[in-house]
Amino acid sequence: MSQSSIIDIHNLTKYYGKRLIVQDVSLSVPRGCIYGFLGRNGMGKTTTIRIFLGMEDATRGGATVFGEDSAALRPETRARIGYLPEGHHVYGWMTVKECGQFQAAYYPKWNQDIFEAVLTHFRLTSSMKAGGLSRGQRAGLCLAMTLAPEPELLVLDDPALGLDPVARRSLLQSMLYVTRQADRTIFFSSHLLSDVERVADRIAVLDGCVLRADCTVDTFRQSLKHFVLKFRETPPSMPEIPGLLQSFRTDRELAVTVANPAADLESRLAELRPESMEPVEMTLEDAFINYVGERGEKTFFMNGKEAK
Amino acid sequence: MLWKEWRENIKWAVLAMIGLGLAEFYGLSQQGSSYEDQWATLCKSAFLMSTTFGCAAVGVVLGLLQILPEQRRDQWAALLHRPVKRSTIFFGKAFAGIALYFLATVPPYVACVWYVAASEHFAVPFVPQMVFPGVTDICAGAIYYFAALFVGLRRGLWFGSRAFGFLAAIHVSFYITGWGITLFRVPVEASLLMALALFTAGWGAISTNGTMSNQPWLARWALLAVIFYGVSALGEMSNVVLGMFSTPQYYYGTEYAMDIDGRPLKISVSKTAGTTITDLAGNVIKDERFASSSRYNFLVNFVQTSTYIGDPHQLKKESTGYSQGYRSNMTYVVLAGGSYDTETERWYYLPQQRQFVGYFYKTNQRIGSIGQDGFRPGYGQVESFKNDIAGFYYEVSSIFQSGSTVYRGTYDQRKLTPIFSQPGTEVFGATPLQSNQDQTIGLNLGAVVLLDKILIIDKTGQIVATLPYHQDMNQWGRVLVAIKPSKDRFFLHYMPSAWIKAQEQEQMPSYMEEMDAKGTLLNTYTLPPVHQQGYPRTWQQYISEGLETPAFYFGDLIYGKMGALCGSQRLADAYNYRMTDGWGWTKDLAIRTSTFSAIFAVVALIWARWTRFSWKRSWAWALFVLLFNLAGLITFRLVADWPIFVPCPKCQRKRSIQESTCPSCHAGWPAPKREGTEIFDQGSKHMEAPEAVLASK
Repeated sequence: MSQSSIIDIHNLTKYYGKRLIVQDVSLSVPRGCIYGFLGRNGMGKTTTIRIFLGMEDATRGGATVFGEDSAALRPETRARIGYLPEGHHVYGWMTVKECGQFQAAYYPKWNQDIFEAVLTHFRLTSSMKAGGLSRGQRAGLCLAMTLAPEPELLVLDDPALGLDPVARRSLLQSMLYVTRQADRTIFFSSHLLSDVERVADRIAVLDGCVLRADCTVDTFRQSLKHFVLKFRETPPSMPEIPGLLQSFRTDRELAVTVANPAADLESRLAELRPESMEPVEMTLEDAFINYVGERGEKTFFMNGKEAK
Repeated sequence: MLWKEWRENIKWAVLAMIGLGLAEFYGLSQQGSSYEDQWATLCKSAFLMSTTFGCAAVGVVLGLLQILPEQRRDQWAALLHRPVKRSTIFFGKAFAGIALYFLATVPPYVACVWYVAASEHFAVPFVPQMVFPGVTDICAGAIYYFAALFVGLRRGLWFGSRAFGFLAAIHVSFYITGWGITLFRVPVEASLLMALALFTAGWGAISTNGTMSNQPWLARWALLAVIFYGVSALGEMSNVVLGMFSTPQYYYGTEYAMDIDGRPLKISVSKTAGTTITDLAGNVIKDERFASSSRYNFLVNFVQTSTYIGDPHQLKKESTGYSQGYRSNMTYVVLAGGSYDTETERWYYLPQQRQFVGYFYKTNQRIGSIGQDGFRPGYGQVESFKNDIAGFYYEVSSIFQSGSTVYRGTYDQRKLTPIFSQPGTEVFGATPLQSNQDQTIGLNLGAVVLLDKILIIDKTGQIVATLPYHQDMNQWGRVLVAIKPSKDRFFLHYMPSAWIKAQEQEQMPSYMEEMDAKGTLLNTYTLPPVHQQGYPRTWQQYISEGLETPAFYFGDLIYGKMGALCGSQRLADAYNYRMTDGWGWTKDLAIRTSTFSAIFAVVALIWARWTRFSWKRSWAWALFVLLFNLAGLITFRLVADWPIFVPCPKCQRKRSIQESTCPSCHAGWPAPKREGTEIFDQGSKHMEAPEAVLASK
């Protein structure tokens, strides 16, 4: 583990029965970093989080958090980690105040001001029944309970899941406001790439049980190139190109996405003799979808068949 | 955590309390179906049904409600992530839950006890010890509570090892509700031990993420115990089911009887020939009167007077006399003097208090008590009898013995009359005489058993017959007595004494004598020994006996020997019997049990090695199976951390997913295949090993 790593995952492999969930994942989360953990559903994101938080055993490999083996995290170390699992669970029979009291009992560094500030931000009052809160309010309450102990590491498992855009933005604002002040580390998984793009310093992408990317957001975007080639006739099939993620052929157009493009990529594409060739800037969302989407060639022809 | 669990589940506890209370009061209000239920309250079958099943159900529901709704993945993760030890979470849940369980089960039971103890709700006296069965059921319900915690927390298949928590609880329930247990502390101890085992196993289950090997050693042993007893319960159930399909059982045997004309008969029952009645010479008797089960109306009714006449071995001192199961109503309240049939009142004998108590049947009003010093109305205190009343089975008859005095009870007149007492004369038994089924009532004669004779007395204590013994009472000290309906002839049937070894008894003849009222011996019949075949053994019995647990079987023998060495007469007797009289059976069972368990131990060893357990672990499991037989083998299958095998990517032979190198080709696990689309920058750990990246390309 490097000196400044908060989370250090090494060669983590996990099976459920004979089903491989995560294969040989290694990851290091530096202090103060906001780390986006991306991947399609069922790719092992939550499992990875649960393993480095010590709630599941790794089949092979392992992880450390704050330098401590995640399989045996001490309560004092857990108190330094704020964990917001997906689903925003609260005990429905408690009031908002009781939720806070129940949570505060476990944490020596409970900051009531933060708790109340987040509640106010989400327009929550102490006497509200947790069971009667909207999804967004529940997320706010959970966030308040997670942030109030002033954790050094914040682990959020799809925190915006099921929230409307306003609630999502509120959640993000609160999270950033509180954590950025103290230069805390955040590790969060999400499907909302616009949020990730807005806040993350680095991202890791799990695809097919394997870690496919671990880099800054900019590096990720820059490592993917998307070209649209226009033709007079039906475009030819794509030749073998290193790093080709996918190509999409229509009657007169060929869209190509390539990862880690070689220096001669454009000249090789030019060999296809397109009428025009245009590089397209991608958002993180576009890049991610292209990256984890179906690989290989896809076609769509209006006349139903490909021209010779 | 305590506060949260309490608040979260108190509504269920209150609901359970109301439901259980209703069920228990319903059980109390039901008319009993069995003989002793007619005058039972807290030991009534219907009531005990409600406490047994009710407490178990409350335990299961409360336990599962504390775990399962919260075990949805995110909620459970949030709970486990709290900065406390998992033990703290478990203890918080368990202590709050058990408090809620007692809140749900104790108040309804206390209310029922109060209702029974308060006057005039039942025409039955309340004896404090009657609360024992209910208290035991409440303790047993706690087992189900901890079983539910264990089942909820253990990771695994519901129909796999998880369910065995419930089966272990059922095993204890089977045991403690058995009618053979006499001491109250035994079921309480059994319940506490199993509850402790389940509690510890539940703690172990939450302490780790599912593996056995990471659990604290105490939790591992508890898990083994829980699964083992669960498997045993399954075995018992299988035995019952198999028994249903095995060969129907027939009784084979021969007994001697005497008809009302004073003719000795030999009655044999077998599967093929049915019932055959012969005289002592073996001539078949064709008599319509003996054709059906009503033949007993034409046979004199031999009444056992005492097993211990002479008693040079002091067996009587060890006898509890009225020994009954702690769940039996008759342990606390015994019907007295045939008053069951009276319309207005009932009298009971209370063995613990050694006094009689009467109630008006219609109004439930207490009539009073009768003790050694006579009758006191209402709740007046009487003096207890100095000695136990001996020798009753279903009710205290009108003639009974206490110490060396024989009494006749006339309860409707509120008195007990001493009808026989001779200073310095030991009485070995006293019983009313019965001639046969039709004339049982109204004989008004009793037998008083002395060292050298039996006296037949009438209701005033007048001796109407003296029947001296004519056999060696040390050899034939078990005497039955019968009277001819004409009341002028008396019969004694001498059988081998209780202290003679069973194998010797089988070789000994027995005797019947006919005497007149003066004790003149009119006839003596020597009855050759008969071999009592009993029920034929089935293949299923042979197998199920062979599957007994060697650890307990031999442990019991060692315990008996150790007890004998430490001076316990009871354990010494039991041990000596098994090693002498019962030696054939003891040896046979030891061989069968050892053979079965040795076979299963070999299976366990091969199985363990085949699945790549280390030699040390393999031998440990084989030893475990050797000690616990088939149940041990199943336990091994259910609790061990079994490796999962997949084909090796290099050699295609199976290898465990946890092993870092293949035992066949010694290859490690290959890095994920690189496609050239991976994006790692300088901050990535995957850039720390470029050679791995290059290698995969």
